[in-house]
Amino acid sequence: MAKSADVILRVDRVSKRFGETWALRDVSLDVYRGELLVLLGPSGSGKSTLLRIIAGLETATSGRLYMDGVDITDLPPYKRDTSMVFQHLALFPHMTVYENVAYGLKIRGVPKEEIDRRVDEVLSLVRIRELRDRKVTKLSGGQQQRVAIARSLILRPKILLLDEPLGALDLKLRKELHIELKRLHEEVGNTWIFVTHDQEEALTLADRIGVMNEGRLIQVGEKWDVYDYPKTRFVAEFIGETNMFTVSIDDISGGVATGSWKGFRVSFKDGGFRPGETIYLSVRPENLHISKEPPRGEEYNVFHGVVDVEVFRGSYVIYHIRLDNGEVIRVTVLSKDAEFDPGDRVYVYWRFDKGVPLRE
Amino acid sequence: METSRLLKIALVAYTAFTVGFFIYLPVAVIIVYSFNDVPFFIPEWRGFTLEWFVKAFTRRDVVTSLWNSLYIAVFTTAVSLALAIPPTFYVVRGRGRVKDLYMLYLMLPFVIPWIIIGVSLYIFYWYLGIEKSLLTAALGHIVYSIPLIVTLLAPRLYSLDPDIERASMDLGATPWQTFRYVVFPQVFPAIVSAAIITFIWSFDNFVISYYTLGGELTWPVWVFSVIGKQRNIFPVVMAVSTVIILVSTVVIAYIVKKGYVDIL
Amino acid sequence: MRRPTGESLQRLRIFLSNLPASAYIFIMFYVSIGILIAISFTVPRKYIVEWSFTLENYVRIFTDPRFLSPILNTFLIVTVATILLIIVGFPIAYYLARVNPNLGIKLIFFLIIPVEVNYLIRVYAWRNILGENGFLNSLLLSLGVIDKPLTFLFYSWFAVVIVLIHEWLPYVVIPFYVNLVGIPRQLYEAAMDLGANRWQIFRSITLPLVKPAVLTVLFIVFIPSLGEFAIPSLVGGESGIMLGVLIDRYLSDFRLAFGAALSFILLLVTMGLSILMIKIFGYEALYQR
Ligand SMILES: Nc1ncnc2c1ncn2[C@@H]1O[C@H](COP(=O)(O)OP(=O)(O)OP(=O)(O)O)[C@@H](O)[C@H]1O
Ligand SMILES: [Mg+2]
Repeated sequence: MAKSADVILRVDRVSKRFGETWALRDVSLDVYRGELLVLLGPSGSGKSTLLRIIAGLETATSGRLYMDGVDITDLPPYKRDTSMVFQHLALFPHMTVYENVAYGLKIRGVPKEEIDRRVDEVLSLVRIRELRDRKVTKLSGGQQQRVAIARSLILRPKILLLDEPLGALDLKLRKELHIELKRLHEEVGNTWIFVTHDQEEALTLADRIGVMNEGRLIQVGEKWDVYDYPKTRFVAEFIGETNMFTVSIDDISGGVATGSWKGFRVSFKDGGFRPGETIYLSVRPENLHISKEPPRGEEYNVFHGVVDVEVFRGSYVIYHIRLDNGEVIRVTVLSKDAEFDPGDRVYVYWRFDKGVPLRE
Repeated sequence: METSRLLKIALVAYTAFTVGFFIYLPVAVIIVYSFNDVPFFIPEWRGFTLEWFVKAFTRRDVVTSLWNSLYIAVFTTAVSLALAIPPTFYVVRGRGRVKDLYMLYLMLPFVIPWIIIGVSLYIFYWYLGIEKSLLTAALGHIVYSIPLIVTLLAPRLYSLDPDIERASMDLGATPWQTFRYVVFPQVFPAIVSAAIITFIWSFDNFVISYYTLGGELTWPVWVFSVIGKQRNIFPVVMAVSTVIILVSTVVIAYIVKKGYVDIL
Repeated sequence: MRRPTGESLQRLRIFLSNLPASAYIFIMFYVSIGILIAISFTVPRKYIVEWSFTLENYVRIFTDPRFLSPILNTFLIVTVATILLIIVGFPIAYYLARVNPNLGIKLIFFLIIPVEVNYLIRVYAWRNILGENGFLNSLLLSLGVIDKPLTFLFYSWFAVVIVLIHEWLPYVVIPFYVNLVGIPRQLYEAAMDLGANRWQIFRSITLPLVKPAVLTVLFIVFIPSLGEFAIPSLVGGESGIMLGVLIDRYLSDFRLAFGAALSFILLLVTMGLSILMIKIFGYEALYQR
């Protein structure tokens, strides 16, 4: 979908300091036209700060921003073609839905008939047309959410910025709104940057994901790439579940590195390592297999252990396996294949190329 | 950015002028001229003296009036707190029309001028043949301070979680124990600040006292009774005021610093 | 042990705990107001009350300009003072709300200190500043700007307004400050993000959201001031006469029926205004401070 040539926003080595703390450190990022980019990171990682700098509500300590090739670093918020949906929505409590949504157009002196038309249009888009004349304080959380998005969308911004807009809602409503938001993004067709600390939300919504931690943008990419090929331990553990092995390499031959982890031998694809080096190997639970018999073939790492706990999750089951070296690892199995019981002795194995070795 | 700087400078200058000059001018005059060596007020400075302070605190009428004010303020604060706390709870927790009417009933003395409370009690005492005294004045103050305390405490009570009380009752505590050990600690700062505000208000009230006092005067009423009539009394009044400013500023600063109150 | 917590027991407890305050207010306020109202409808006599119904007092008040004009004057003075107070006080609150909260609280504290001096004394200090032998006149005389003391500065309408503003300014700044501080910063940012400039934000967000403070000011400044009598009697002179001064005059003269009638008029007007405001805006308007 997104063509790499079509960069709508370029963030170029942006840093931001608040007193002693660095909220952002040297962040560079290209955002493509029409995409839905999700910025994901734990609390305090600098997501909001980056968004606010893009919106112009905060000025960067260093670095520059370009929109469609034009330097916008020093433009005030009202001269930028971005619009923000705030973490706590920031609806104007003294106004009705209509007045909130019309606000931006009214400020710009758009004639009343056009305002009316566009408000109706955007309210239909977010499906709250019937709430037009309600006071916003008299709406439910989900409805307020839609008003906040409508208020920004009506200005047809090139980039819509959303700062954890679903943070205050309960899980069920969030899931409903995820689908709504996907639909909305496709219908409107502009570029969205969506901030969240919820990895599930990120995987549901995103075209691409950018993972942030401690003010750094650690990895950006298509969401499955980020999931399958995390660059660091942090990314691997933050997105999805994973088993992490600390391996000291002692042999490299034929493109395969081998080392030991707590008494077990582990092999994986070489990534230019040297013998003696210690790396972290991430293996997703769904890439692990279990069976009563050892697997046939050379291309597997095979451990032996006992089923410790079985966690039923509907369509799949998570097994906690206590290995012979005392460590516990997690394996996901589709429910229809979940034929093991706690106490069973099993083999756990995965193909060499399913383990992702990480230097940091 | 340029206009915002200008705006800021203008605001600072304006605030400094209004507060520093307009609000503080009379107070500054009072403090400075309480040390002026002239037995009445003139704009001219004639040298430093502490005479008015000595005189103020050796004059019986001055000292008595200050004690009387203190007595009334303490009495008013204590009694009206005790009376006002239960209605505050009801007003905050209650629902419906009865509560709304009751609220209006309690609040009415608060939303009309003090002079009406004073005048009606003046007539009331006279009509019933009640001899006016410090007590009758304090009773007058309480009419106003009950709704005053309700309005001061209610916002704080609104933010209290009623489930905590239910939990406490559920654990077997009596309503009184629940109040004493669960509710009271949470509203204590608000009660302290309500008490302070009531105390200051009562100490300083002139209008209600004026109509409900007997022969014994409070400080504000004493001031009113002499201020226009005796030219040589003003230095003494200024000296007492200087002391009041000093003492109350220190006390309030201490209490605020200790975090006992949430005035704002 | 679980205690009986029946509905009716609960009600009884609420009733009993509310009884002292309610009874107190009933006797000391409503009964005494009742007597005042009753007396206002009796024949005007000095020192005594003659219990025979008449409207004489009210007829006189509403036909004699000597009473009507102070009543109108009262509203005029207090209205002007309140409007000026808001105009003067709002920018201060606006400034205090924008500095950092620590400094803001300290400045508020600074603002409260002058209130510790009884207002009568401050009024008198004003007299020493604006009066015939006061600072301003002696300064102007010594500079040769004038050769006779200015007298309009004092004992006038003007002086009452100045002194009222001085007395009430802190009580205006504080509710506005509390109100402004309570407006989330995100609202301003959202408005800015939607394209509003500073002035537009002020008009469309700040002003509408400080309405509660305006109400508070009406309750704690406007209404009480309507009954003010010490200030106008100390500095008001003829042009600054107010209803409170009249009431006091008749009461001191022990013409109770007439004083009571004047008081009842003041009560009706202020009560009417208060109930109207409460009906429109709810009791929350009273809680803001
Ligand atoms: N105005 C500010 N002043 C001082 N420090 C700030 C300010 N804004 C943010 N910070 C700091 O910058 C860092 C990043 O904050 P930011 O709000 O961007 O985090 P976030 O990723 O959005 O977190 P959350 O998920 O909690 O919203 C934090 O350490 C925060 O304390
Ligand atoms: Mg954030």
